[in-house]
Amino acid sequence: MLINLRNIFKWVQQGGRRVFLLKDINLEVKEGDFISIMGPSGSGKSTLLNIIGMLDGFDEGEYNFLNEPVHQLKEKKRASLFKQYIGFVFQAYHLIDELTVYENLEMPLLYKKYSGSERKALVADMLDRFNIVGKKDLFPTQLSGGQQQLVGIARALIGKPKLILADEPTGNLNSKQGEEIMDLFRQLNEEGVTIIQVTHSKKNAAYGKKIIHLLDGRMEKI
Amino acid sequence: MLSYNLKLFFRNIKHNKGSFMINTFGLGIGIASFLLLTLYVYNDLTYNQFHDNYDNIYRLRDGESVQTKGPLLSKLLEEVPEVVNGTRIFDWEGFRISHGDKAFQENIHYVDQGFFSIFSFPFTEGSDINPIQEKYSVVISTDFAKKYFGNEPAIGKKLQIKFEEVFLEVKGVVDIPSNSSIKFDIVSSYETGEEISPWIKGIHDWYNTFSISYVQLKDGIEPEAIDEKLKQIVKENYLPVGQNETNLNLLPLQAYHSTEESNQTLIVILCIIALGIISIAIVNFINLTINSVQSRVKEIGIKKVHGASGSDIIGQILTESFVVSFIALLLGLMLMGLFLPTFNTLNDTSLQFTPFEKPIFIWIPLLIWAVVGGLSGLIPSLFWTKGKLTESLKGNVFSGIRSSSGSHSLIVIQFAIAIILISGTLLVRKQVQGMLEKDPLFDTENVIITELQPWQFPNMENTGNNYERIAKELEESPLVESVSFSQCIPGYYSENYNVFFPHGKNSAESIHLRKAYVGANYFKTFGIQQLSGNGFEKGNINYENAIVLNKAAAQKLGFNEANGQILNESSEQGDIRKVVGIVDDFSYQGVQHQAQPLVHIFSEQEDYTNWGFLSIKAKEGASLQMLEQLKQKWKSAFSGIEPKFYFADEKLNEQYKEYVQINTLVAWFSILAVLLSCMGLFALASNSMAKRTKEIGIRKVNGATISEILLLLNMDFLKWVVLAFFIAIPISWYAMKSWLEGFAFKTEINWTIFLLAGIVSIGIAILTVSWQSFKAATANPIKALKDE
Repeated sequence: MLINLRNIFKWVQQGGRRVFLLKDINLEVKEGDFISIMGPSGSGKSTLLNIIGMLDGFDEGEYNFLNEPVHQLKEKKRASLFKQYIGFVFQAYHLIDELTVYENLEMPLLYKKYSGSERKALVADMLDRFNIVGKKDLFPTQLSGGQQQLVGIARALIGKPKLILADEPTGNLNSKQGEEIMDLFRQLNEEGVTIIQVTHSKKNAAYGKKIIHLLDGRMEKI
Repeated sequence: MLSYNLKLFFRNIKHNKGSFMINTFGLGIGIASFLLLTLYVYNDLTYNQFHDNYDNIYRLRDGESVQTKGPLLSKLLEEVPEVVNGTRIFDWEGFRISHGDKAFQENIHYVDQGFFSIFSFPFTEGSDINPIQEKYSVVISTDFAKKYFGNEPAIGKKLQIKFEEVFLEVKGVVDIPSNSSIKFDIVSSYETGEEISPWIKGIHDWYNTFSISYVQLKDGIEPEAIDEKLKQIVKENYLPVGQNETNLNLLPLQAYHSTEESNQTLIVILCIIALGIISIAIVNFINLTINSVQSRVKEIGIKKVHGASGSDIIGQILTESFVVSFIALLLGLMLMGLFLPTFNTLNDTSLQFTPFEKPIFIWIPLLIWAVVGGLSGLIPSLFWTKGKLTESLKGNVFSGIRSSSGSHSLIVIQFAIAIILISGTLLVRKQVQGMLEKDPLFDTENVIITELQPWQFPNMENTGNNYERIAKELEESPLVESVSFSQCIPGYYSENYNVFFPHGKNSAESIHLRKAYVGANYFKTFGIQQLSGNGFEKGNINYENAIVLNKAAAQKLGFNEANGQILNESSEQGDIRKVVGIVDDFSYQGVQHQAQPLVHIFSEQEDYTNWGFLSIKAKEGASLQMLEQLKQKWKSAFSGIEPKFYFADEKLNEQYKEYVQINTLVAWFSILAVLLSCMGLFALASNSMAKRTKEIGIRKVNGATISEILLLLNMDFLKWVVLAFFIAIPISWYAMKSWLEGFAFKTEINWTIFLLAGIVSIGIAILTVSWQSFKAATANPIKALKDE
């Protein structure tokens, strides 16, 4: 089991009252899954994704990642789990504007302490695989949205994560670009990468093998 | 990783050129100002320390007076074993010295043989072992050597005295440090001096005080230890023997500069300005750094999502802040180097930045670098690493972290400093103006002074006759009211004092008067008002032994009018002086001083080359015409000698030079302080506007006009500047009052000064803030609201 969430609650205090962001979430994700999380604005989709991605904490419940109890782990251990296994893709791509495509891809490897030659090889692989060798010296602002997201995905994949978390990856793209990205996700999933995506679009959600609906912080059906 | 951080950093600079420039430039200016002022203060505080015997050297004083009696030193060396070495300095001699066709009037110093062993002047040529032991051997300063010999070696060169066949030989050249109290161009031994000018011997007795004396005490001996022996020497030798109670004392060389030469208030003011400016600059730098990287919060978030740890991020931030502050430091050093010559000219100093000789000037910049780099790196690091990752990805990690009271107190402090400096500048200016404009009580418009420069001429008799003839011709000219020869002119009275005893009165009523020798018509020529009696007017009166007192002297003596009262000079049986007139307290040493009691002694010279100045009063409005005539006459009599003519108040106004310098200095640094404060305000305003974009948008959507929003945004800052104004006023008022205490003539501290300073700083603040607020107020509200 890759991920096991049990009775997850998250709330904030507002005017002396608890406002629940997530209520009693139970979720199991196996390796090789492709899950789409759907729901209206404010239903807690992104919060859930951030908790799974260890970017955010929760107030109650248990979270096991590869059988490690994330809620009990020390910060350091959690960071190393995160570094090793998780890759993020964002709606707004979140590329660093001051770095070229090549350097954006290289950036995570620097923090994972890969050697110079390893980095070169891995980045070259990615550029090849996504057909963006010709773009490697361009800066993000010189690319189209679809191309930027491609780089974003390549960057998420470069550390060979088991799990890709995507927060509305096609939200800023037109439908054609969006389709290409979703096709890419499907392909990655077929190659064995676990994917959890948050989306508004039914059509994109349908790429997933499993769809979760959230409403007011509660899971509606699985 | 380092190279990667640097690469990212430099690309960021390229994207934010504006804020980077402001940031480094601001700190650079701050560092440069701080270093310049530190150089000045350091130079002042380390005066005379280059002497190896610094701790053991003392200057002898008779009471408060630093002039000493001629035979005193040899007596001390003889009778007080604690005194191991000593030297006198005699600096009253000046004559023409020439080498080839180079000739100047030089002030030669005669010293005892101990001079070069007590003091440690660095020799660039020759050595400090008995360089002036042989008669007619001299040691000169590097400036002197340059003036006469250019770049040639000076040693062995001969210098001619006056026009005589007497030559001095250069035995050494010393490079006198700029922070030396003892400065000279050329020194020779007393033995040489007494041979050149035998009269010197005569004035070195137990009455006159023409020499300066320094002694070196044995290691570990405190000056108090020989107090009793000094008292004994005074008792046995000072006149009248047995009754003299002069307090002969030792002033440590360590204290000499600060008590006798330096303006300690100025040093304190400069220290405060230096610290104020560097703190404004550092705080701004940190502030601007935090601001300029706010846009990079997202970048940090992205990095963290991709595995960067807290220490990776801190490492990056620190690298950047150390690099930026290093650039600022280099810029600061460059600016300092650039402005040091100007600073030196402004202050009449010759400061040099020599960090390898004075390691403190390596440590100060390094310390600034460490403080600025460390703080400006660590403070944002705290925010960034602690900030919530999910928030930072949205770009708003700072929300609510920085307390507004912190940044507002910053505005208050910065502007208070700026307002204090501006009002200080205005006050110093007003005081200097006041001193220049205050009626000196002599004629400044129609009197032209000729500096006679008799030393220029080989044939004294001829020259003297020429002086006399020119004076006579001028006196007969219809353009001229009167002419007068004198030894002194206002602004140039020598430090010559003597004691006078009112005839027939108790000797306890004796009085110290400053002495000046003047010729006939002196007071008439200078238009100095006569309160009583006569002012040496030309006529058939015999002025032998006649004196004219100034009002201060007459009051001290209790004379209401001049009616031939007798004073005895030097002793109760001394030379008889007859008071023939009393004149007003005209300003002869600058209005910053109380008028000192002054006696003018009538003098007639057979040889007109004994006079220093020839002053001519032109008829009303004819001074320029008369000057032309004077030039012609001078030219035909002394062709080839550059004449020196000036208006009567020129020398007097030189007395105010120091204050003009202070004024310029304070003015420049207040401009800098205001500039830096504005940079800080600019940064804060832009930060605050960014935070309020949404609020502004909502207000506009709901009908607020641009001017209403401008007012709202500006008021938010201006109220703090106004508060700064009210904090600054009492501090500034107190500082002004203490500064003015040193002046006899005090300008009035009035409200216009504060008002003007307030208007200037508030005006500048409005401009600075409006720049930002106008942008915020005119922005499209839809854009602002869409963000959320």
